[in-house]
Amino acid sequence: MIYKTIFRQWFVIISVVFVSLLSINNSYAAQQSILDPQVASLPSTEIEDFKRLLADPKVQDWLQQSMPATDAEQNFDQQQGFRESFGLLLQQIRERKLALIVAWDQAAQAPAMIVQKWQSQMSTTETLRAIIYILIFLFVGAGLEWLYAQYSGYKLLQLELRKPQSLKSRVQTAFYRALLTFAGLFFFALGSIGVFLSFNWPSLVEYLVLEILIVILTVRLGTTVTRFFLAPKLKELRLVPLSGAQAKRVHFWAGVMIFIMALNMAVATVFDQLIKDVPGGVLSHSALSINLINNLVLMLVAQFALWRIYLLFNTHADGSGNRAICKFWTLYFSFMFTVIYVLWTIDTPVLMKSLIIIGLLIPLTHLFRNWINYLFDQAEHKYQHVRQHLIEQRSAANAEPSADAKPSADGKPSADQEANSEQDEDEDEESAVHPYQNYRPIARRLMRFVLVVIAIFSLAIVWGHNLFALSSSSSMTAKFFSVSIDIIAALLIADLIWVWAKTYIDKRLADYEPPEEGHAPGPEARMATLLPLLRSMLIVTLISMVVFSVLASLGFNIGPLLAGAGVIGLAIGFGAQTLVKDVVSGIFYLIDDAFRIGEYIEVGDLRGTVESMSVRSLRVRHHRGAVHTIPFGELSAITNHSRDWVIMKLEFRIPFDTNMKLVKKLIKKIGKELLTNEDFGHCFIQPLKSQGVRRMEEFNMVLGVKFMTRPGEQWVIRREAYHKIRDTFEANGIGLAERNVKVQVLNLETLDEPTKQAVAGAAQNTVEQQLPPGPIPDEP
Amino acid sequence: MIRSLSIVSGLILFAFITTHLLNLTLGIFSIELLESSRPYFFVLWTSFPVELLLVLALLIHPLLGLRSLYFRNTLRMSGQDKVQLISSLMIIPLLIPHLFAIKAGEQILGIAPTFTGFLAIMWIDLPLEGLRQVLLLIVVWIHGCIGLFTWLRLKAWWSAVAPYIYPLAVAIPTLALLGFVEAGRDAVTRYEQAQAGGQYQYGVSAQIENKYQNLYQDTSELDSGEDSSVELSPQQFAASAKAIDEVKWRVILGYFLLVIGVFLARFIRLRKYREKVEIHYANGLIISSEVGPTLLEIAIQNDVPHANLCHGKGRCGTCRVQIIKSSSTLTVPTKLEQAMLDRLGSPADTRLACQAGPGPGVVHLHRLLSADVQPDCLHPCADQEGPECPETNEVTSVDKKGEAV
Repeated sequence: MIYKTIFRQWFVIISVVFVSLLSINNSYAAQQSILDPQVASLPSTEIEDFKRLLADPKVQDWLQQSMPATDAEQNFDQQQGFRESFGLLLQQIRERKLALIVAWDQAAQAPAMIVQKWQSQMSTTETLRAIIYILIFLFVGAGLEWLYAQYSGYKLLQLELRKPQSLKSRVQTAFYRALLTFAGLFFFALGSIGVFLSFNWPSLVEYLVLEILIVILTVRLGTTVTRFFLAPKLKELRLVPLSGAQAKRVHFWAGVMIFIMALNMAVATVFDQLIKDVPGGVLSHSALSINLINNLVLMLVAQFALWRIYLLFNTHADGSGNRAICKFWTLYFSFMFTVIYVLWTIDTPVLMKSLIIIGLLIPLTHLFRNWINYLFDQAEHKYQHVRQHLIEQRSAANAEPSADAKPSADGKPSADQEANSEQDEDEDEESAVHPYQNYRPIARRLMRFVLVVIAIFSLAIVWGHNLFALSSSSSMTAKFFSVSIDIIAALLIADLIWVWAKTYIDKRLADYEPPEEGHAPGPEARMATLLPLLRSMLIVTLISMVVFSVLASLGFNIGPLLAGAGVIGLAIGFGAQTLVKDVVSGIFYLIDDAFRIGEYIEVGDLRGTVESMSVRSLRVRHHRGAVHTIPFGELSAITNHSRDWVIMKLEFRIPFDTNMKLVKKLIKKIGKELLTNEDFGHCFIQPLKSQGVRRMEEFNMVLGVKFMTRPGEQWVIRREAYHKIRDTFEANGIGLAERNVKVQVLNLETLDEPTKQAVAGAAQNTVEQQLPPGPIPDEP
Repeated sequence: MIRSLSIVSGLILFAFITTHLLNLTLGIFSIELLESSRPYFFVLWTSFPVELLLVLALLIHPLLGLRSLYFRNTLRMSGQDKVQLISSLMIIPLLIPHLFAIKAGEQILGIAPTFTGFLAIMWIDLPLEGLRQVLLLIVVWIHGCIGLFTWLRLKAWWSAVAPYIYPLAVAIPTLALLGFVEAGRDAVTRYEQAQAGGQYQYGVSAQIENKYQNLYQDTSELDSGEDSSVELSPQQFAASAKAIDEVKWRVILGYFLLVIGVFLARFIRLRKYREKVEIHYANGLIISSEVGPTLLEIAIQNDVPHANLCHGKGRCGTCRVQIIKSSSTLTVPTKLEQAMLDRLGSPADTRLACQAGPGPGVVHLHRLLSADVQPDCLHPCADQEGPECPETNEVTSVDKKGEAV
């Protein structure tokens, strides 16, 4: 909550500052750019002359001679020491001071001089006609825009009435709205510029009219942009956390600042145009005094706006801490305005621009940080809201007895985010952690990264260095500059990557629930082992890379270091070949999801339940208690007995005279009975059913019976099935076939008792020679 | 009665201006064409009964405007209404010099009202007049269009025709302005050529220019075209021109006094309202305002979206609200409002937001139509409660809310 207020304060201040600062620069930029159109519009005869001159060998000689001289001069300029440049700066300030004094003296006469000059260039009639033209093309522009509004107005109204539910749709709606407004602006520009082009203007009037057009377009563009963020009239579309009154005031002052800025710019340009033709620079000081006053007005208005906004925010700020912060930033910007104005007055543009960039960087970073916080908060709030709604619906629909647990789940989402992420025990609470939450730190870092990069680039531009040519330059400042840029860039990028990876890994780890006792773990269990390892590997890699790149940019030769590291790495690699093999193949087994903790697997001739996995090996417990430790590298084909389903087939031997229909019926009945069993009935996937006679043997038929269950449940069911089938058969007079030998003796009477015994014994031997099937393979 | 009078007078004036501007459009081709086509365009308007009608309309329309200004409850209004009001106040002072120049110039000074003459004056001698004229054109056209379209958009056939009419509304004044500029520039070049050749054909004749030079600074239109048939002696001419000028300024001053008087009277009328009313919308929105404005005006002041196709004239019924509960006494429905409500077949607790002004207290209400209602759905809606008429989203919540309050 606190940062919201702070954030509001900054947003406003910065928007105002930004606008005001731009304008100060402009009077310079305008002076330089004023020449360009002239160059572009050279008459063709002059160009011909120039071409002819260039073809002349004498001229070429002269050009070649003069080239090196200028180069040398430039080099000399660049290489002059700190003392010289400081002296030069002081000299410049002194000259500026003199100029300012003259300008101050002339300030009173300046308007008269300018009016005089104006009249010499343009008669009153022409001025009035110019105004007529301006009126006309503004009217045409506005007319076209009105026409556009007639066709798009309904759409716009619909957009404004839409109540966006999520942050995404809010941004989208605001964006569409801005787009529609921009299209209107485009039509305005089309109409007005079109009419502007269709008239022939005297040169001075053209400049004037063009400037007016630019002022109008700039103001409208600027206010459209501020409206996009502030939406002073539509709370639903506002992207910043301001109240309606605050948004209105900020919007108003931003508009005022943009207007004054554009006006100052235009005035400077027109004046430059006015005094251009005057010989001897009679009017130059008048222009300076006008600029001086304009920018003073701008500064004062900016201060006033700051004060007005401060008043409004101060009354809304809750808590003394916020008020202090409010005050601090107001004073900060007020001070900055003043210093910037002073720096402009003494004509030190480089210093001034550097101050602007550095002075804006810190508050902008805070501002954007708060903005991101706000946006994430909004998104999460909306998410919680929707979730809560869903829960309410669900609980209403189910009307479950556990309804008393719901209110606690409902009450919590409004609590702080940190509190939420800790409440993992409840299922609902777990999902209450918003999906966006993990992107918040990443967004912050990214924003900071982008801002710093922009600041560095703009500083380099202000100081007149080409950032990409810096390393080849030999001066001390350039070296320092390039080294620090390298270091900062390396640190920032590493930080960005680290935060991204860390939040990702932490999120995955936080999402992981250790399985309850006696339950098989879910598929995410495998990553829980792997991710911490990955994380530590990443940080080591990042740190070493950053250290290397910092050392390299400082001028150390890191070649030997790298080579040394390479040799050591090679040695270790050879030594730890199998270890590496184990780790790597372990990773792939985990990725393949070949087994999980708690599953019964078979590897070669080893079998058992997977108890634990380390980085290198797998621990499997045999059902009789023995523990096998198998390195991942040794694993080849794995049989997993605990996946999805198991089919169990049973066989019974029954006599040939058995009634098969009865058997089928009985088995079916048993299958139904087993399905209703409390302990394992729910484990059946397919019930017990008879497969009929599977084959005929010498003395009996083989009855097949099968069922399908979840893995691990088949043993108990099999036991119970045998039990039931035997009992049922017995009750229905179906005997299970027993091994018996029929000995046919043709003449029974002739045999005496011992012979009979011997025959029976021989038959017994024959039977026993056909060994019964071996014991069933080991089963848990 | 008063409303239809205002519309009819406005339509007459608008029709006249449209013909005038269409005529001016021909200036794009040449001054001669402009001049020669003038009688055809004006033939209707200079015939006796139509001219009388025009004059009557010109008198009635501003007076009705001032009357409605007096009855306006608040000056904080939507952008379009603001433009409408300001432009209406600007028209008369801008128009009077033009009227005087044409009528008084013709009747008293005997100057023929021709395009050639006036263009020369506006472009060469008195460019300030040209500026005033352009301003007048723009203001009048904007005012006329707002009034016309606000009236037309309620017609059943309008939405089908509108897309083709709107471009015209931009094209006519644009072309007229371009015609004005083209013809003016033509006049200027001819003037310059003539001056270089030693003659002075366009603009004020050389003789008058010399004699009445001092008059040009303070009088606006005393001058003639090329064929100025000046019957008066120069002294008489100067004297009557001066008299006309004085009368003109007096009329303008009088108009200003009248406007100030209306504002004062309105202020006195509204002085008594200083109490507060609180409005609870069915969707949970709560706004409070001073007593005096109507419900619609309060909504607009507080940026609450509210359907109002006729801009609070009580003609469309889109602003109707259902009063759920009210501890404030609303103004008694006027005949206009009652007629509209009867026509819509609304239940007793329905009111037009643009007509009902709340007294001090708390009003719970529900906007019956969505703020983005379009004129197309108005007509089936009014007749048979057509299903395509978008009801507000709050409808579902209103029952609950209604129970709660």
